[in-house]
Parts: sequence; structure tokens; C-alpha cells
Amino acid sequence: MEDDPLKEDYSEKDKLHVFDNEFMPHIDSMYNFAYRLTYDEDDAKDLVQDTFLKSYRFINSFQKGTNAKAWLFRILKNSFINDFRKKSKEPSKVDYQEVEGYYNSDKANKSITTDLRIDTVKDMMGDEISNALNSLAVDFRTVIILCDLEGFTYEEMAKILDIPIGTVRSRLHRARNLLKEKLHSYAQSMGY
Amino acid sequence: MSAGMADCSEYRDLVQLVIDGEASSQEETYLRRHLKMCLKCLDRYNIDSEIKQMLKLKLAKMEVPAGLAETIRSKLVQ
Repeated sequence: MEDDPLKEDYSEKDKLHVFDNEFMPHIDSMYNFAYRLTYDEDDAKDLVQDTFLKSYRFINSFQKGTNAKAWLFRILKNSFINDFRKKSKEPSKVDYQEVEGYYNSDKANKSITTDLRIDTVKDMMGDEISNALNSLAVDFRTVIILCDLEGFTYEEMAKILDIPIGTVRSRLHRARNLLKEKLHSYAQSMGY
Repeated sequence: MSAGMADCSEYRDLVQLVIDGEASSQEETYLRRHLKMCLKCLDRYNIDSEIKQMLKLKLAKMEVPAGLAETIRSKLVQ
């Protein structure tokens, strides 16, 4: 953020105005994103607070008229990686090559698409869908949250996650295949 | 190759683009033409659309803890 050549020069009054009118309205989405990353109410609260305080400290890097929500989500994601993920027991990195090898294969695509039925998905409860999503590795969970829950475009996701758009697409594709497999397992265990 | 046995890898990517609103109108037309002939891709399209909708509809939203906004706001001016 410090390296951004296009810096604003807000007055103290403007800073508070931008903060109150462009940043704070996103607190609800931010808290939900933080909770889905950490699964802990106190951690989510700390993460949101850290994010907002950082956003204020670096507010001159926020260009007026650009997407404040995407900018805030990027700070939150970076804070999560730098401050929270280290403490977490979750493996810090997914072995993408291993996952890619399997989930892009025709065998995987075939079994998933033929076995999971649309009525099964419709009948599922929120808890089952939530458990399936939460069981995904954080990088896969994140792309689904950003795309399907928060409605970010691929371009916005690429900026939030600091990855190329092509990687957004392939990661989303893999995440959805994994999610379908989890939903399918739930469906089988519940006898749908 | 019959339509059902075709290599559908290019359509698999298109399904995702269309569902996410990222496809151009030409790409969308191209996919819709294929979906009329390929049950496998139509299934994928329907399931993926349904899951996307279900995620949005059925996942419970967490309430922001009371006082969090005020706490953050008060720390700005310290």
C-alpha cells in the first residue's frame, strides 16, 4: 500500500468522511468474511478491528471513487495471512499440484456431475452447506466466499488475493469441485 | 464422436463464466447452443447454478457484535 504511486492527500475531516461513508457501511460483510476465515467470534472481531484501523492509517492509498469494499477485503485478507494464519492449526498452504492433478481429471468431473443431483442440493439445510464449505482449505473457501457470497468479479478477486485472473478461475473451478464432492458425501451419509 | 461423448472441457470453463456473469454475450450464446445438445454439460450448469444460489440463500449471516463499530470509531481519534 505504501508503494502506491497514486496517493490521495485527504484532510483530517475528509479522512473521517471517507471512513464513515465508504468504509464503515461494509462492516457487516467484513465481519462475516472474517468469521468464515477464523471460525472464532473473538478472532473475527479483532481481525475486523485491525482491518479498519489499518484502512484509516493508510487511507491516502485509497483512491476516491474506487471500490472501497474490495480494498478493505484485501487488507483483511492480508491481515489474516500475516497475523492470524500463523497462529492457526490449519496447514498454511494447499498442495495445488496434487489437487489440480485429480480435480481437473475427467474421472473426477464425471463422478461429481453424475452423482450429485439438483434435488439433493435443494433439500440440503444451511448447516450442511455451511459444514461442506467450512471443511474446504482456506484458499478454496475464500474464492467461493468472495465470488458467491460477496459477489466480487474475477478482476476484483484477483486484486484482493494478489493472483492473476487465470488463477482465480482455476482455483474457483477446483474449489467448486471439492465443494460438490463434500456435498455429495453429506448427501450419501444423510441417505438422500 | 456423438454429442454426449464430446470433449467438453472448453464448455466446463464456459459454464463457470456464464454462472458468474463473466462471459461475453457471444460466449453465452455459444454455451447455450451446446447445452441443448449435451446433457452432461446441462447437468453441470444446473447443479453449479443451484449450489451458487443455495450458498447465498441458506448460509446464516453472523450479526456484527454490538458496539464493535463504535469501538473502532473511537480508536481513530485517539
